Amino acid sequence: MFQEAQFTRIAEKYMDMIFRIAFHYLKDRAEADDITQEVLLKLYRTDKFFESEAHIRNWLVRVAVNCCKKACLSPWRKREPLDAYMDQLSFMTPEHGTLFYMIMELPRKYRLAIYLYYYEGYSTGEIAGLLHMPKATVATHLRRGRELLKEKLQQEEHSHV
Amino acid sequence: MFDSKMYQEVFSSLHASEDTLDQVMKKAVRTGKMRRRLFPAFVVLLTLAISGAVFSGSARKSHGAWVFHGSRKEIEKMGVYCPEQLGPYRIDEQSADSFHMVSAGSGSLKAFFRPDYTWMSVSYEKNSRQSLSLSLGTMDHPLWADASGYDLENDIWNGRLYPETLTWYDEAQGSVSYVDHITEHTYQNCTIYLYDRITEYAGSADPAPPLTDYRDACAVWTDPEIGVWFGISPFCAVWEMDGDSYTYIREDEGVTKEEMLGYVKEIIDGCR
Repeated sequence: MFQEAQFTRIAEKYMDMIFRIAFHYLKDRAEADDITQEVLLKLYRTDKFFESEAHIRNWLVRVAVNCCKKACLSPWRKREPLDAYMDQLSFMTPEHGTLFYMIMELPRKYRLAIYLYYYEGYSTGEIAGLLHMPKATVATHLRRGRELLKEKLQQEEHSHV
Repeated sequence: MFDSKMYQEVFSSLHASEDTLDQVMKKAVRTGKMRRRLFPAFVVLLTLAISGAVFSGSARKSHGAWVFHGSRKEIEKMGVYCPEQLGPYRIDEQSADSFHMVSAGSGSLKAFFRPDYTWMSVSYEKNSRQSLSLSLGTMDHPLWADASGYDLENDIWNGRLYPETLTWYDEAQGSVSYVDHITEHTYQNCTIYLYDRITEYAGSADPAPPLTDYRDACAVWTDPEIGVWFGISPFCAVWEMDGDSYTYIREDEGVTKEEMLGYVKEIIDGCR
C-alpha cells in the first residue's frame, strides 16, 4: 500500500497517461475521466507489491485498458461529440487538429497500439505483453494504423485541393 | 511517414480533469482500502438467482410498494450516488445483505444491488423510453442489470424492452442494437422478457469475430405482486481473469434461455 504522499506523486505523474489511454480507447472525455479516477482508486487500494516504477506504469496501463474494456460492455454509453472536445483543445496548428481528428477516426485497436508505441515509447514486444496479444499482431496494428492514417490524410489533402 | 513528433504534440494537449486527484481522494477516504473480493462467476449468478430468499427476508410493504432495506454505510462505501430523478430511496441504518430501490410509486424505477458487488454505476435518463442503466458486479465478474421500459406517454416503467433504444456504438457499424431475439413468457402473473444480448468483443483475436458470436441470454420482468423490476444478464461465460487483465473467452455457450428462464422462475418463487 502506498503512503498518501507517494500515491499523490504517482497519481500526478501518470493520470494524464491513463486519461490519454482511456481517451484513445473510448473517444470520450467524460468516460476517460471516469476511467482515470477508477484506475487511480484501484492503485490506491491495491495491496500489490510493485518492484519498480516501471512495474507501476505497466500495471496502470493494463488496468486502464481493462477498465476501458469493461466500460465498453456497459449497455448505456453516451458520447460527447469529438468536435465539442476539440473546440476546447488548443492545437499548435490546424494540421495538429486534423491529425487528432484522423487518429480518432482510426479503429480502436490501431489507436491504442499507436499511442502506446509513439507516445509512451513502448516497444511492440512490451505492448504485446501489456495487451496480451501476439507481437506480430501489435506490429500489424501499427502498420495498418499508419497506412490508414496516411490514406485519410491524403484524402483530406485532396479534398482541399 | 508517421510524424511521431507531431503526434506527441497533438496528444500532449490532452489532460485529465483538474479535479481528478481530489475526486479520487474523496472516494478513497469514503470507501477505505477495500480489498477486492473474488467470486467465481457462477457464484455471482447463483447469488443473484437465489437472492430471492434474501430479498423477501428484508422486504417490507410501505406506501403501496415493497421497500427493501440496506445500510447507508454500505452504499456510501461503494461511492454510489443515486440520481435524484429516481426519487428518494428508502434506506435505513440496519445492516442487511442487500440494498434495493423499488418502485414506490408511479414514474420511478428502482433497482437493487448487493454490497458484495464492489462496483456499480448508474446513469439515468428518461428520454426515448430507455432510461436507466445500472451496472453491478465484482471487478472480475461483471453482472449487469439494465433497466428498460420507460413509457413516456404514461410516465411509468413498464419493464418492456424497446430494442430500438437499446443500442451501443460500434466502430464499424455505428449504432447497433444489442438486444435480439426477444421472447415473452408468463409465470406467476409476471411477464418475462427473455432476450439475447450481444456483447462487444474485447479479446485479442485479429480480425475480431463478428459481434453476433457474443450473445448471452438475459431476462427482465416486473413482479406486480411485490412491485419490483428485475433484470439479470450474466457475463460469466466470457470473462477470464489473468493477473490484472481480463480477456474474453467463449469456451462454453454461457447461459441458455431455458436456463435463464429457470433462474427467473426461482427468483420469482423466492420473492413470493
